[in-house]
Amino acid sequence: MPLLDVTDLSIGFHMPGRDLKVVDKVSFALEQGETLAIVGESGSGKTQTAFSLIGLLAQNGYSTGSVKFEGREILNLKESELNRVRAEKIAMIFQDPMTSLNPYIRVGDQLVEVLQLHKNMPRAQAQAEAIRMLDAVKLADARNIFNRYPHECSGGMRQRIMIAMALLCRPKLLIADEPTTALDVTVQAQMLDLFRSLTAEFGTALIIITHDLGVVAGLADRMLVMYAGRAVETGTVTDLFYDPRHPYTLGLLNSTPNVEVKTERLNSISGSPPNLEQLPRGCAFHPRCAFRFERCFAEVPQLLDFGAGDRRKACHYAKPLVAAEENAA
Amino acid sequence: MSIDTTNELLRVENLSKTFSIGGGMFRPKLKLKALQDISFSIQRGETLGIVGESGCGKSTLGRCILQLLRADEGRVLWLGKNLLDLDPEAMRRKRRDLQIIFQDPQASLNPRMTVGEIISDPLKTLLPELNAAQRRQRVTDMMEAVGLQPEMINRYPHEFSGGQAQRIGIARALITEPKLIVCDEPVSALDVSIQAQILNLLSELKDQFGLTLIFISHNLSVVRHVSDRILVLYLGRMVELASGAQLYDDPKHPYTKALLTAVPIADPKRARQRNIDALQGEIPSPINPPSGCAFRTRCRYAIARCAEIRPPLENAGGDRLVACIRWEEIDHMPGMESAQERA
Repeated sequence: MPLLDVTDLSIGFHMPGRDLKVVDKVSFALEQGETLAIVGESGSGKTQTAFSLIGLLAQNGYSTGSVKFEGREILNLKESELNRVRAEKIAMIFQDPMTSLNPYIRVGDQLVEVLQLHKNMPRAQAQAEAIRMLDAVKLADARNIFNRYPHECSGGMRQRIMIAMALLCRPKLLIADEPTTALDVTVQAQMLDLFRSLTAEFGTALIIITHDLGVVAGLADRMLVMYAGRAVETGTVTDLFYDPRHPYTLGLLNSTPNVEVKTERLNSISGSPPNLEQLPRGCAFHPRCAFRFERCFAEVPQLLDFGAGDRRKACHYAKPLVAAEENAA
Repeated sequence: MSIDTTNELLRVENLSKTFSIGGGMFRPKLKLKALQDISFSIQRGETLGIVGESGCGKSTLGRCILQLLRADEGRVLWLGKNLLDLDPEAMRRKRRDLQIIFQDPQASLNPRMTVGEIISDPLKTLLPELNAAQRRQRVTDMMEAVGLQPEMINRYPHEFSGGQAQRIGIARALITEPKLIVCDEPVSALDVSIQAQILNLLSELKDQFGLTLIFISHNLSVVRHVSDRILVLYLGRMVELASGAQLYDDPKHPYTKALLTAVPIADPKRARQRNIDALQGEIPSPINPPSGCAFRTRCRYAIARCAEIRPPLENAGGDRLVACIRWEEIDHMPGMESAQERA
């Protein structure tokens, strides 16, 4: 049984006079200790997918389908039941650590509160545990940081504090939404290191939401690529990077400049992502796709196994893309 | 450095900029040295990349060159003439030649102006001799050049996506036929697929209009892709200045080395092979920077002398400059062969 099993998850928002669908029947699974990257550009639905897993959609949002955690349905749970799942089973960290920390409360007290609330721990024990966790996220001088206010910490320190807070109750799954996007590159490298060692140390499964393929390449075991609210390709990181089978995955890889080689021209994807309220007929990617043919204009491709190991794609084009691209060149 | 001054467009000499911050009735103002003693030159048709992490002074440097900020010391020589000596009116006329593209395309466009008005606005002040019909012609030509449909001339910025908005920003910068454009993080706010489109567009326009670019970015992969030479800044000081190939394949300064190994590589095998030896700690406060070499607090090669003297920029061969008293010694340490030798 997978740790997390998401089936046909759809998300929408009730808007005045209309209904906006942002995620359409996304399915994926995650094993214990595994790291999954959800990759996509703005508006792809990657963040809303993560939010819905722990009931964080905005007031006017709704989700349908099924999300099973350790075999138990957790989608649309009551708030009181959700609060048990959050922190204890699934924890989340966000892009901007400053907005997730209370500026009026000392760092230590915010950590202790989590343990008192979820684990009924006496204060002294909670304090010791909090300091141990600040050590685990490699914050030098954890005791000193325990007594600071969030504004007295740097961006990298705050992100470490958020990770410490998320791991306090030893959740089985950690969801990280663009956790390194706001950080400088040297600090980002420290963070990625930390994620690697923590998932190994605590056996935590990790879902990392990002648009940065460099981060994915170094950190994730598997990846899920989303476009305009739909899952377009999923498989191991190695499979998708070296043999992408969805033209959008290929396009993202080609658009990413590599620091190790100087390229004359990037193979960009033409056009821009569609407006979610006016999705193109057929495959949502077809207006930007170099591999499209008649079928793509009429029929929405389903995310299907195509007989190349543990991977799926939602694309009518049957042949490998990298070879086809090289032939064309 | 051996420089062909006949082809030199811009020369920055010993530029320094200090901001006064904070302070109250009973609290003294703090001095933030944003730039210290920056010198370099740019040849016509060249792209100079400026890289560094937040607070290194890269944007301040761009703004000091364009005289959007006034430097405290030093000179900015434009074709041999110091821009700091110009009176406001003369500088305004010069702006025809020096333009800028900003990071946040939506925020840098006036929401109440149409695209046509935004793009033609610089013409009114900088080329007043044009009549309305000529202006309109230039605007539609420029819209086509940057990949915008001229029919969109009467639309408003909010009707455009981020990538299209950046195209509008580029058209506005190019409309006066400038010689130099400072691109300040021009693709950082864009999605990956759109970022590649804008990078390609910039390189096409550079060839088409014979532009010289200063490309400021924190993204080292993007900078490598567009630049001929690269200047690395750390806490307002020059750390290394070298050609793209020199800098990326064989960095000399310990900070440049560390910065490059920290860049994530979009290739799972390479990413896992690499021995990422992440820099410890974070950038110190520029209000109270370390003595001597500003990088020494995070440098694994730092010795006592690094705290005592500010490392001068030394010529490390082949027109490259390095500000590290130990660069040569480090270069000869085992395991420090260049990327080319390793390959």
